[in-house]
Parts: sequence; C-alpha cells; structure tokens
Amino acid sequence: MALRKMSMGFRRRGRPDPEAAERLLDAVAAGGTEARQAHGGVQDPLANLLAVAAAPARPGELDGEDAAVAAFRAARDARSRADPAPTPRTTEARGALAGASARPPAGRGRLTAGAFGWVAVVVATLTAGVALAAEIPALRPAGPPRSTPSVDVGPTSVPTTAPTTTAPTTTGPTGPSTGPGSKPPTTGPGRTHPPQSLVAQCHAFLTKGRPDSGHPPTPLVRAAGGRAEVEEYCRRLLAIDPKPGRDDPNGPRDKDAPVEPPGRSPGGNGSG
Amino acid sequence: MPTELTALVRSAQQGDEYAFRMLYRELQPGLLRYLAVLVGPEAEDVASETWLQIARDLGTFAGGPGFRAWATRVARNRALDHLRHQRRRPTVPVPVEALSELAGAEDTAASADEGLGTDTAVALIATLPRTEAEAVLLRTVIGLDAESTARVLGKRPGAVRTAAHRGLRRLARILAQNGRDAVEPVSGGPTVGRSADARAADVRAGEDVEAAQGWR
Repeated sequence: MALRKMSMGFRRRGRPDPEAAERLLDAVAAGGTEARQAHGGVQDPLANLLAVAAAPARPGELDGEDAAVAAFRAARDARSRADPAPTPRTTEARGALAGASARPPAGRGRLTAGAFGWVAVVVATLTAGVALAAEIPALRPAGPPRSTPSVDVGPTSVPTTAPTTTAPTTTGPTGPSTGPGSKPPTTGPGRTHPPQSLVAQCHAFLTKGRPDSGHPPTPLVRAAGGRAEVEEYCRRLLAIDPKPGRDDPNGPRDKDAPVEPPGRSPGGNGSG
Repeated sequence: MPTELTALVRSAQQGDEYAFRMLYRELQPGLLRYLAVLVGPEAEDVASETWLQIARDLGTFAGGPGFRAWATRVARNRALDHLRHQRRRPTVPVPVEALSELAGAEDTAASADEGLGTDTAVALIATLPRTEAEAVLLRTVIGLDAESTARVLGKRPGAVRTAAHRGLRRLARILAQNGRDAVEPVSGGPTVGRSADARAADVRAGEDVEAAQGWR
C-alpha cells in the first residue's frame, strides 16, 4: 500500500519528485514484493514493475549453487594447504577461534617456555590440536614477553620444556584418558628432570629478600628468556601453579604483581 | 539483515561452507537479474564466473557491511569483461504480450508467481539507457543504497540518484503508454530494446574502465 502511494505521488507530478522516487526505491529494496502482495495485487504499474523485478528467488535462479559451493570449497582447501592452519568447519570451532580472527592461530613453534606457554603445552599434551588452537589465543596476551623458540608439544624435546613434568599435579585426573600419542608426562623421566626444580628455583629465587640481587640459576635464566625476566617469569609461574602458591612466603604483595605486565605487549595481541 | 549478512561473510571467510551457501542464496537472484540486463542470455555464465571469483577472493574482502556492493562490483566487472570480448551488448527480448500484461496490474501477481513477471519486469528495465537501468536495478533488485550504488558504478551519488529518477520516470511513461494502447515497441520489431550498437557504445565509454580501477 505504501509502495503504491509512493509511486502515485512520484507519477502524479509533472515535475520530478526526487523524494518520492527515493522512497519508492527504498521501499522496493526493503521488500516491495511483500508490500505488493499484501495489497492484493492491485497496484500502480511502476511500483508493481519494480516489486516484480525484485521478487524472491525463483527455483531456476539457484541452479549454480552447488557449483559455487564447490568453487568455495576448492579455494578454501587451496588456502589451507598453502597456509596450514586449522580450518574451522563447525559453529563450535568458529566460536572457539573467534578471538583469533581468520588468520592462523599461533603455530606450535611459537609456544614459549614461559609460564603461560607452559600451560599451553600441558593442554596440548592432553588434548587434541583443536583444543590447542583454541587455548593459545586466550593465553597469549598475558604470556611472557620473551619467546624461546625451542618448545615443541612433546614434553621431552628440550630442557626448557621442563615445566611439563609438573603436569601430573595439575592434570592428573584427566591425563591418562586423553593423552595424545606421544609419551604422557606422567612417566618417569620427567620426575627427576629440572622442571620440577624450576618451580623450586623460582621459589627460592623469590624468597630471597631482594630477588634481583641474587644470581638466578642458569636454567632459570634460560627459561625466562633473560636475567631481567626471571623475576616476572617466576612470579607468573608460581602464580599459576597452585602448589607452590599455597605456601608462598611472599605474601599478597607479590601475588598481585604478576597480573600486570609492565607495559610489554607481544605486539600481535594474540592474533598471531 | 545487513548485520546478518556481515556475520555470514565472516563465517564464510573462516571457511564455513554453509555460510557461503547462504550468501549465494541471498545474492544470486539479484545478481543474475542485474547480469541479464548487462549481458542478456549470457547472464548465467557470467554469474558462474562471478561466484568463482567471489569464492577465490573472499579472503581479500575487508569485512564490514559492504559485501553486497563488493559482490555486485565483481559481477559488474565480469560482465564488462565479457562485453569487451563480445564487443556488443545483446538486446534483451521482451515478450510483447507479457508487457501489456504487466501494464494491466491485476494479472501481474499471478504471472509473478509463475516466474514470468520477473523476467518481463527486468527486461523492461533493460530497455532504459544503461546507466539508468543499472541505477534502478542496483537500488531495487540488488538492494544497495544510493552511495553504494554510486561506488559500484563509479559515479557520484547525486548522479546515480538522478539516473535512477530519470529511469523511473521513463518506466512510468512506458507503462502508461502501454496501458493505453497495447504495446508499441520502442525500437521497432518484435522485441523492445536498445540496439546492440547503442549498448556497445555505452560499454566502450571510458567510465567503466575507470570505475573498475577505482574499486578495491
């Protein structure tokens, strides 16, 4: 009905009426067909013409759908081959990756030996790759600034991955059933390895009255990515490790400290 | 609707096949009718090329609300390429009896249901000078606003509005005339349409090339 009025107004004047024309165009674009049908088919010819031209899809018009989707699939697969990132195909996966945008999430090589990277490693060893991809973007923004390029998913590859040996305390209940093909972190070698001592070293390091006056052990410096980073690294490590945190003698003062990284940004803010 | 479309585009860019399928269903009818005005019976082929390119270049679309215009631009460029190769624009045949039916408004609802009305309506719009036809189609069938239409056509919004208004007046005149005395083909002969030569002249005008280059 409105469509008809607009068209009549547009037509009645001898002079052009731009406003009426705009309203007519907008009305048709916004669903002129429905307006026409609601009116019972009796319409001004011009409004009718436009509404019919903009009618909903007719069956034959969508014949190319499968071909178009096939082209889409081929292009997508070609892209993922060239750029091997997990391709989300389900709504759930999309939701999990929402923070990672369309770009590939952080690759495994970008895991760090820092505390948050360490958590990611634990997650990775216990769950499948999708879970890893979902977790990393969430973890990265707060992660330690220094990236040690040594860490693989496997818990035994490099000394700096040592923290994974504390996994049993964190993930014991679910570990055995979801372990990936690789060696589970609950096995022997890790027990005696430095990682456990990394926590202990951090503990010791921070419990000295002035942490920066001491000489941090070399493994700790390496794990932190530099001597200057050791304190922050340790605070984060202990803050996320419930066990040492429980009897942390540093008290509440230090508990707050790790939450605020001193103005350092990884630069990619998690989008990788 | 725009936000819904934007969400679909984002999902498709992330690889969601279903979202791409929905985009196709949303846009294809309008694109096909627009292409019918530009390239006539080749419209389906050009539409296929258009979707190939959309599928391939989807990742380069910056996101946001402009996807409808972006896809339309892809279709238009494909059509113009096609016409440059052909050196002419085919006349879209308008069944004369269908045209008079259209002017008599009572029957058009039924004919639209059968699919006849849409072809006839699009064919009648195709009898307009090309810029007017494009402006009217992009505003109504594709559903772009004046600014987006201007970007697609490489013109200023004011020029696009003027072209659309002029096209509407011309259509109204044709319909009124056909209502009075059956149908009198505009260019003679059994079909209504501008000559192929006139269309080709439109296409050869530099504006299209210029417009195509301005689009990202």
